[in-house]
Amino acid sequence: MRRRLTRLGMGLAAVAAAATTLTACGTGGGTTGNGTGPITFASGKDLTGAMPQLLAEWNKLHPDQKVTFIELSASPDDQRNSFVQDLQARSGKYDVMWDDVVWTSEFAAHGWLEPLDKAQVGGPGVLPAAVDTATYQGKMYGAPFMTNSALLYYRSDLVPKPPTTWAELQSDCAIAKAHDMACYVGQFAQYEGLTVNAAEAITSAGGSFLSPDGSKVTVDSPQARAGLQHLVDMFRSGNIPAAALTYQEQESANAFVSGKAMFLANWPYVYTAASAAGSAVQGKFGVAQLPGPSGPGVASLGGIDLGVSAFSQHKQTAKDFVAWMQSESSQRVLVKVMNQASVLTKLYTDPDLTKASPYLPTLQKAELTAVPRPKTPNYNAVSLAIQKNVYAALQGKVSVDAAVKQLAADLQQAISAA
Amino acid sequence: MSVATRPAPPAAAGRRRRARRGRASGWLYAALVTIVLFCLLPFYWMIVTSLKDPKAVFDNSLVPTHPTFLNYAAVFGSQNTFLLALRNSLVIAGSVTALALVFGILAAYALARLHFRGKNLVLGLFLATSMFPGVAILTPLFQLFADLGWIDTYQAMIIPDISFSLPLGIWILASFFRAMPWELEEAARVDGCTKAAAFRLVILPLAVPGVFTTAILVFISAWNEFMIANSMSQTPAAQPVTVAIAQFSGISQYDQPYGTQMAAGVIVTVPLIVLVLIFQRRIVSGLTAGGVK
Amino acid sequence: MSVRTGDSRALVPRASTRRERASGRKDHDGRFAFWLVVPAILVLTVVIGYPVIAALVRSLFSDSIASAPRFVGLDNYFSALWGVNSGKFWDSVGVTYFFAAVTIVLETAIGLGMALVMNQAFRGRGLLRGVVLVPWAVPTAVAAVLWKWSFDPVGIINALTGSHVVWTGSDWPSKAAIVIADTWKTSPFIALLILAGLQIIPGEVHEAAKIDGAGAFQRFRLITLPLVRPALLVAILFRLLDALRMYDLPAILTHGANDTTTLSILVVQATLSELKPGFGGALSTLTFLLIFVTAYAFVRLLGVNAVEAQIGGGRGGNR
Repeated sequence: MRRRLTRLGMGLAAVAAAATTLTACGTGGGTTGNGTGPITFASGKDLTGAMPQLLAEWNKLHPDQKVTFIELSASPDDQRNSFVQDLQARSGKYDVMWDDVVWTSEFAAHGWLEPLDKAQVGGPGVLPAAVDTATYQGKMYGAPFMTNSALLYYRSDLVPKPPTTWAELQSDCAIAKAHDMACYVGQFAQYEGLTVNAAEAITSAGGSFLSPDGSKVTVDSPQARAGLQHLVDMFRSGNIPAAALTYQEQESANAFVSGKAMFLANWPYVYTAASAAGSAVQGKFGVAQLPGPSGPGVASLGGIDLGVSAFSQHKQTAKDFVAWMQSESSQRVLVKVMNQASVLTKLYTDPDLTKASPYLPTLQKAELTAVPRPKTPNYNAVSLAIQKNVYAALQGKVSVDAAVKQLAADLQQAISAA
Repeated sequence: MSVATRPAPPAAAGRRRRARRGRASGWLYAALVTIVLFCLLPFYWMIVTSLKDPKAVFDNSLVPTHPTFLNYAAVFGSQNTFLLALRNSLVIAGSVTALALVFGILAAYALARLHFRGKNLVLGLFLATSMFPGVAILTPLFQLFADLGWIDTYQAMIIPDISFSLPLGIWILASFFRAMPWELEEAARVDGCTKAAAFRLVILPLAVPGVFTTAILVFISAWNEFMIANSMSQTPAAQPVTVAIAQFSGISQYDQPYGTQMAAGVIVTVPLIVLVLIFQRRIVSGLTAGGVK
Repeated sequence: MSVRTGDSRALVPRASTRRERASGRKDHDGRFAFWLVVPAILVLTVVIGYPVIAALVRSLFSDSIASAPRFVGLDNYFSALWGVNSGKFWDSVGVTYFFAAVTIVLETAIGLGMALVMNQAFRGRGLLRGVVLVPWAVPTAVAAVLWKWSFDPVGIINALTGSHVVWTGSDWPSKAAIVIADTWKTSPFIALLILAGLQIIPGEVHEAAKIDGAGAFQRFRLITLPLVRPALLVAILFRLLDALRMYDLPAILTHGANDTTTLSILVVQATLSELKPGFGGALSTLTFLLIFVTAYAFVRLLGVNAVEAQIGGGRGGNR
């Protein structure tokens, strides 16, 4: 009984502690070490088993600064929750974190990430758009590690030349109709993927959501309306099937790989599944850049930046480690074994790599023009606002004009919460 | 009055039941079929899906045309942490059930049988602890347990789970204890038993159906708890099955391994049902005992 | 330790009920009761009490990212109740109560039916109890994924019914999908609780009524229902608490799209997604207050009480 009471006492003490630490929140920093020594690296689930091998490489080279691998869930939301909980508790359990590009600004603004040396991790050999995702208020808070941007998958047996404009896309849809299949599918369920797809339509049409520094709402423009109108028209004409309102990556990829859709906008990972035995489109598809209003459109940039925790005990080792992960030898493992896209420009034309991943040159073209999603510490509130209003417009519940106006108001509220 | 005077000798009860069965059979069997279909059709679909080739998820044929155990192999394959997760779940849910029952029985007995002021307040407080959204509890609790160094330990999941099941357990048990034929306890005390002994020897056996029902509900909710476990357990050493299932991954980070998840769902559900069926006798014996009054 | 004496004084009243004072058992009862109740209270204090107070304190502070949180009084509450966030909040309140009302009515009806059947004597009754438990035993997350794929546009439900409904793509089908999934999952919970209540109804009561010529429906209405009422009400009460905190099913089936954002989803969005612990704390507290008022009204109106209940003849009959 006494022990239980002690526990109660600890609980009460903790209430008091919580009240006092409130005032210390958000200032970042602290008395953490800048030195070298063993560190941990937390990433999303390693589906290829290559990560431990890569880390073993580092450990061989740095016996005094060994890195321990912590494998988190495959779900980005779960990964973020693990990081946020740990960072809020300031435990420094994760020295190096695998951050989705849209988290970098948020984590940096909370003072959770250590600024990195741009000369070391943002040099000329790194894709500029990837460097941009890791930059917050002029400083880099992450080392771009891998990148991602959507491709247009098309049925080369039905469409000889992939569409480059929206008008061509819409006229090609007649072919799909003749074959009794859906014309175009993407990710239109109300979740993060909808933000990606809506951003692609809107930025392709020349619109934007926020100003580059994230301080002003810029969505209330004719360009943004034109971009959204394109998606709404595609839904209304049935060229995007109504079922796509429930599609995430997996469902949309299934529709294409099973031969039920002619065009698919999705990440490069689909290439492997679509080429595999058992795929209905094996040998019958190609990849291209997403179409735009007049020529190739603009893709949204995904990917991972490696961030160093502000609460790490061995920051110097952590910084050296993220730079090493960006080095050519590590990046080759990333492309070859993990089947992901590198952040180093020169690896997109490397014959050894393009043989295994023929989509690399197309992907590079897409990535050279790709635009990060809005960069703001309130990214989640911004993204939720985009999803909600775009979804309502796609469903036909509200007009494009009303959706854009409401979105502008919601975004204003989202960013002013800082 | 003593225990020996209970009416309804088994033979008579049996005769009565047989008579009732004959008359009621028409609507009873219709209702039976409906209930079985309602409960089992979705579960059947789960089993069918778990037996499909992972590539043929949307093959909607009602019987598995080419049954395969690939999904089951996948559950136990790759990193081999599922067996460990099953053990963790067993330890966690078992401890939660045992402790919650002990705490719950004690508290419920006090609430049902003893007289003290503020009883309704205590009952209300127990109830009120089930009114806060789970996530609101999660963040402060994580910080508290992180300070105690409890992250990735069993107690970080057992203690919250106990507190989630206690309110319901106490309420069910208290309402059961209220309905007990307490004159038996008085009789036992007249015979020289202490209050505690009277409770243990006379009342507890009569309370078996209620205790058992509570135990099932508590065990299942602890077995299925996900939110707390997902935060508090970070390595396979402490992860229960619900977290392990969520960690299953498909060929890419975007693919949900539907068939594997269904297979794992079947694997963790079937033992529970078997367990209930084994303990079934306890309910039945409790039932005849309950026919006392 | 000072906590001990403080607590015991609060719980052990100087004067107990009048009846008890007459019997002279009060001191013994009170102290005994305290030691019986205290383990449960301690666990609940650490796990629920402490976090709730922490969330409550935090809800009085601002959510600014760059600077330290400021004390803002009840601003977070005002913003949810009639400020910039009131639209979202009241929409969620409506959605939450809609789901709670519909699912509880359906689940109570189905659960009562199941319990009545399970209480009959027939061969294989034990097996039926196992069967009924299946939906409740399937882990919630797995069940939600099962229903998500069943309600897919090319899933089994459309295939079986020959329809082309995009279930999770518009408002009412989404709500129907969530209600169906929840009803399947939770009816057994109610059934089990009612069954436990039915088991303490002595069979003789039914027999006697039958001999007096009461029909099946009459026996149900006049005997079974009143006797099982306490168990039924406790079951509904706890379903109410859970249904008003519904999270998993809408989160997995629709992500809160199509007008299915329940209060819990809103709390998770504010606390975990948007990292606004102050506003999230206020939403949690408001949710708590709504549930509290609802449960209180339920208990008052219907007289649910685990200790004063009139089960099986109730307190009067036993004394």
